[in-house]
Amino acid sequence: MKKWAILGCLALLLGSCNDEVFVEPVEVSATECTLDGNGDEQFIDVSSDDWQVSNVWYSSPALTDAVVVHYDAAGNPMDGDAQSRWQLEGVGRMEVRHPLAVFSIEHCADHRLRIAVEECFFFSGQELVVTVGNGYASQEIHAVLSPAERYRVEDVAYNFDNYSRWEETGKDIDRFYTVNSTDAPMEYHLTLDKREYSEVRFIGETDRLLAMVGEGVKVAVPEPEDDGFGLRMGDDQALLSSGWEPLTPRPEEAEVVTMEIPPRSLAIIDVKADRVYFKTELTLTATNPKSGRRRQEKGWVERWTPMRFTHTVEFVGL
Amino acid sequence: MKRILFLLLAAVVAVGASAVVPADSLYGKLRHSVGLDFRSGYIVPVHSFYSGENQAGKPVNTSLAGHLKYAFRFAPESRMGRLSPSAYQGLGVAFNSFGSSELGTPVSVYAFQGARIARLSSRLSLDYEWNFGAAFGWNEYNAQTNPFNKVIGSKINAYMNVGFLLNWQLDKDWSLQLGVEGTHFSNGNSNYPNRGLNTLGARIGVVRKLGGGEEEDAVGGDAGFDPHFSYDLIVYGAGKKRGVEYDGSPYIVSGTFGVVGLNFNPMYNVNRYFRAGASLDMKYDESANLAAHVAGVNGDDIRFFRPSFREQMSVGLSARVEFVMPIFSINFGVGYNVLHKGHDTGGWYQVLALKTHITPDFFLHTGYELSRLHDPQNLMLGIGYRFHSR
Repeated sequence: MKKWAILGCLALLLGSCNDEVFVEPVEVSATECTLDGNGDEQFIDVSSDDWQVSNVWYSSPALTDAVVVHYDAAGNPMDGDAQSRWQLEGVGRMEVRHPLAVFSIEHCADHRLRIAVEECFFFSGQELVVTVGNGYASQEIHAVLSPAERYRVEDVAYNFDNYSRWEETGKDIDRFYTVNSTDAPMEYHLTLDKREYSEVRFIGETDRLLAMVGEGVKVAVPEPEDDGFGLRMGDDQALLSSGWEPLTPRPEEAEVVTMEIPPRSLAIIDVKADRVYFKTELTLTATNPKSGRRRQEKGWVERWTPMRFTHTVEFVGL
Repeated sequence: MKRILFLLLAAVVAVGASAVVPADSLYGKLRHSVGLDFRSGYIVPVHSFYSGENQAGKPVNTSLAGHLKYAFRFAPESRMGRLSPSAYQGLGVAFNSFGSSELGTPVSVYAFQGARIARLSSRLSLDYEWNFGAAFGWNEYNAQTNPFNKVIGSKINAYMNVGFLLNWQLDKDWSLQLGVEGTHFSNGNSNYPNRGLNTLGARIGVVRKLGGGEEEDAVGGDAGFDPHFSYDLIVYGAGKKRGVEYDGSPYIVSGTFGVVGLNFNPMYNVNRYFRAGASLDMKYDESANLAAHVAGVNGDDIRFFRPSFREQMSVGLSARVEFVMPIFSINFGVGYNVLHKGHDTGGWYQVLALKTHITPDFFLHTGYELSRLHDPQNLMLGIGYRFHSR
């Protein structure tokens, strides 16, 4: 009788616990972290066994266009409709790929949160806010992806065997005004530098390219042969830019046209040029001085080069 | 939970019934009797359901019950018989009706004990009797099938009754009993709703002694009783339901919470019928102070962060008195939680417990705790051991 009474009490105690209404608070080992944009990872312990990544907020509007790929616990890519874009249910990983940054957020099998960045080419630190929770409690982890070291350009190689080319004649390129207020004819020297009137731009993954090497970087660019056909490498250098940029002028190599301005007259000089355009593929090789990682990026260079100048002069009496 | 409650209550009844022991100097040859009661009572309207807010649209204010009882007394020459000559105890079965199909017609099974308070004449005495057991077969609240019944939340409810009787000895075998009584049915907060059912009423019954035997006139006494201290150590547990209010809305929390307690009662045994003392009461209540730790709500489903151990643990001191009869003792206590954290575990509390002795030192503990005189807390179903008993 005594034994049954004791066993009854034990059963009473064990059977009355109500674990199902209790949820674990979600606590994390760190609410802030900074990741080196050259390549870094951070592991954060999460107290609850039952948590998920419920949201990822990011500071850069550019990341709205990022491609987000989800992977399951086995590392297999998941159907895009199977999971919300910025959520992770259960163990798995989301990889975020943007031309300027590649990073991942992972719910590891050991229930830690892993934030990893492959490279971040944004020019300023990018803030992520990763929210982990279990439906009732949540915690935010503020992660900053610091900018990666800019790559140093080692080499730019151009494809001289396969390029696009066409010509343009009589293109208006400039107008000059000069005044002779004297009573005698005046000699005027018109200096025309081909490089000053050349335009170069780089196209392709230029956002990434330019972010990778930084601003103000000049690279060697090819020039047309003297006959306007074929390409060769000379001494020309252009600013690595997605917009049309002139070449650095060389006045000592400029063409000088001398003309006489009549006394007491205004000379209006219109300059035209016959130009050659070419577009060719490039391969840029650069190295990250901090991580030692070497990258090759492909793109295109376009260049307008004046091959021949013509000019007309109109004199207006003062 | 209901099954365990039933088993423990049944154990109390079984102990009462199992006291048919071979004749020895403690109990002697038992004297047996059977009885039949008819009881009628007024149902106290503690809820609007009883006032007429029910499916029938009529007040539920009358209870009727028929009781069939078996009792035994100790032989007058036995030690128990000399100490409590008028005491009787036994088992009863009652068939209840409240005039409401929404409540049902539960059957009670209970242990009881009674004794003489005073002899008024050679044939007339004033007695008391208490009943304690369980009532089975209620129609409990159900949102779809029994939505008006917001008083009874479980099929099984505890049954408690105390009555004062005029006992008229008709002849050596038959006696007539007339009396007044109060009854309480509830489930001790093991389920919701739990307003319970209380009656005040009257009873009439007859008792037939079996096997003959003369009426004892012994008053009983304390001869040889040495006042002393004894120390009861009790461990108990229970399950309870819990409701909380959050953000202005009430929620019934799903599941049943556990309660575990330890009482240490040092009592001074004044005489064989009465002891008094204090108690150190420690209790862990899994449902305490939940309202301060709400994690969130999803529809009707509310979830919590588990409160700290300190918020769910309390240590109190209470004053206790205990009325001692053969096999059973009734313990009353009023106490205050001196160590606690949070509203739920603080304040005054009240305890009513029935100790059912399996051996002179080992007993079953069936109790109930109330807080601040109006907040039902939990049952106290456990076991106890008495040190330094004599």
